[in-house]
Amino acid sequence: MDDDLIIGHGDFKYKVISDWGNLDKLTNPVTDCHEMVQDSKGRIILLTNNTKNNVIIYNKDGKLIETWGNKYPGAHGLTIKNEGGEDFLYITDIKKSFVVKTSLSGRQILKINRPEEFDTEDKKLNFVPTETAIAENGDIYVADGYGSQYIYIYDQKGQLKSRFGGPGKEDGQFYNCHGVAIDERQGTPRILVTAREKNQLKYFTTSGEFESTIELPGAYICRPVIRGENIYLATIWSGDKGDNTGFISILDKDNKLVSAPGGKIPQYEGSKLKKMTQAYQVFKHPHDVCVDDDENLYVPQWNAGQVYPMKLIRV
Amino acid sequence: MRYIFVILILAFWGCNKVTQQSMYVQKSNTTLSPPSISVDEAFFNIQTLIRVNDVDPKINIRYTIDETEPTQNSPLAKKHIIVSETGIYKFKAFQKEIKSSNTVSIETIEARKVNWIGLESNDPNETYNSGISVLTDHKKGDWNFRSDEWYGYQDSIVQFSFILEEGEVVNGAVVSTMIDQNSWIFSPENVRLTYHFEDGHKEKHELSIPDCIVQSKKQMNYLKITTPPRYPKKIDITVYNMLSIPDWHSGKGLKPWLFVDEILVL
Repeated sequence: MDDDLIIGHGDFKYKVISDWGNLDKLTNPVTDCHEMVQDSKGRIILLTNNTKNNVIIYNKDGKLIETWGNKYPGAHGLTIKNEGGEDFLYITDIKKSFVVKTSLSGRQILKINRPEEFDTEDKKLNFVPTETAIAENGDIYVADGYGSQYIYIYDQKGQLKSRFGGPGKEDGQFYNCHGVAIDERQGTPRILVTAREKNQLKYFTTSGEFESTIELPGAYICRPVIRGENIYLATIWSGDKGDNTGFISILDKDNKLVSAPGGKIPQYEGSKLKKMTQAYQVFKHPHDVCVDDDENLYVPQWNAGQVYPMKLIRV
Repeated sequence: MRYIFVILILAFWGCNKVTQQSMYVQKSNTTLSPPSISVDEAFFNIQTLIRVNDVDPKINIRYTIDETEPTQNSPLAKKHIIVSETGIYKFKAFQKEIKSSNTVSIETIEARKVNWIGLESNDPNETYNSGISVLTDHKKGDWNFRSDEWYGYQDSIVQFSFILEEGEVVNGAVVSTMIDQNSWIFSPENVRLTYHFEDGHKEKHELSIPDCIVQSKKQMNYLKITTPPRYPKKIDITVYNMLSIPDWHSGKGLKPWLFVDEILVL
């Protein structure tokens, strides 16, 4: 219809369903909706820090299928990985400071606690993990985005192998390494890490050597989500980090911003992106973006009035 | 009977209309975000440029220079506006079928380069110390208080002292700060400007900010004291912070932060 709002640019334009996934707030409440993934059966899985139902599983129409989880008051990062034909979830908890691997029904398989080997005599390591990424060999990359600013590499059994990054202004350092993903679009896997306060994404080798930076001025990014040849990013604050801001960013295969649903038209001066800001008050602090097998998007939001996720239909 | 038939027809028509309602967010229920406006030099000597960064042809940016709210009838903002006077410029975005945006205010201050021969200040927190020259470079810091344009303090009293060249006229001072209460950055509660004259006498001027304890939106905060023209040999600008963060804030009882990006001697 003519009055439907369309957001985004170029080949990535969307209509917005704001009441997708609305449930009874008494029986299935949400607090912050942090992250979402799609499983092998096509179901949409939401992680919220409401301990009445940390995990809410929907079909693509927003109908409730099942819920579970009441032990994750700081539920924050949600990653899905198919291992040997079975889907597993990796959940980070920023209040209890751990990472757990579970089955799709919530059975705990592995738990990673604070790596005590980095404690000193007078100070314990501040470990507040925000995100995980899982390599094909099973290695688990844990972004300590609200804690020590390191990316910790564990093997598939949860044994610590090494870490890289740390706090600071240098190229390979972070202020809020909030998200992590593995980018295999060019063949060789590379680790892509959010440097939120710097409005950047940073590439590292799988062993943690810094390679390069993608500048996204005005975008306070949560995590990179790689789908096909594109990277999708939720921007929790935008522009000057004002309240109730944010939009979605979509990068092409060359990591150029080609669409910003909810944001203004991307403008480049040469190879340099001009500072991005919000265009329409559609989102309030989007925290993740899930791309389903129809290339529609699901957007959970942080500190947005305990609202359920939005769905964006590609047009 | 005829009435019942008519009511049934109307009810059916009404239901049919309901089923045609779109499931999508409507333009008419959407609000534009504020326009993206920047200024080359918020503290300028002769003139500066305010830049309108939005390029969407569907959106009109309108502005005022008399501190009133921009309306559909206000002048259209072009790509840039040349500014040669101290003032407050207000901008608002308009688009057909969509609700207009909130207003963005840009304040510009005409500030000559005063000739001083010495500047002292308390040491800032070591994390937010980019060198004292940032306080007099006439560059406005952005919202990133970690950037090299900001000096950050957690002291209760912060003092900036300028030793001036002989015969330099002074008309007041501005302490340029920010308020970002989510980041524990508050307005101070008082600023005192003290002139020290050659003959030993002093003259004090004060600015009180009682609203510093109330909840405030994130904003740039210019603390301005104007005085009659004076010829001091030294001036002290003393900033008094709240002793602790108010009870309504999650950091209650702890020390608030003061961030300063510029001290202007007028």
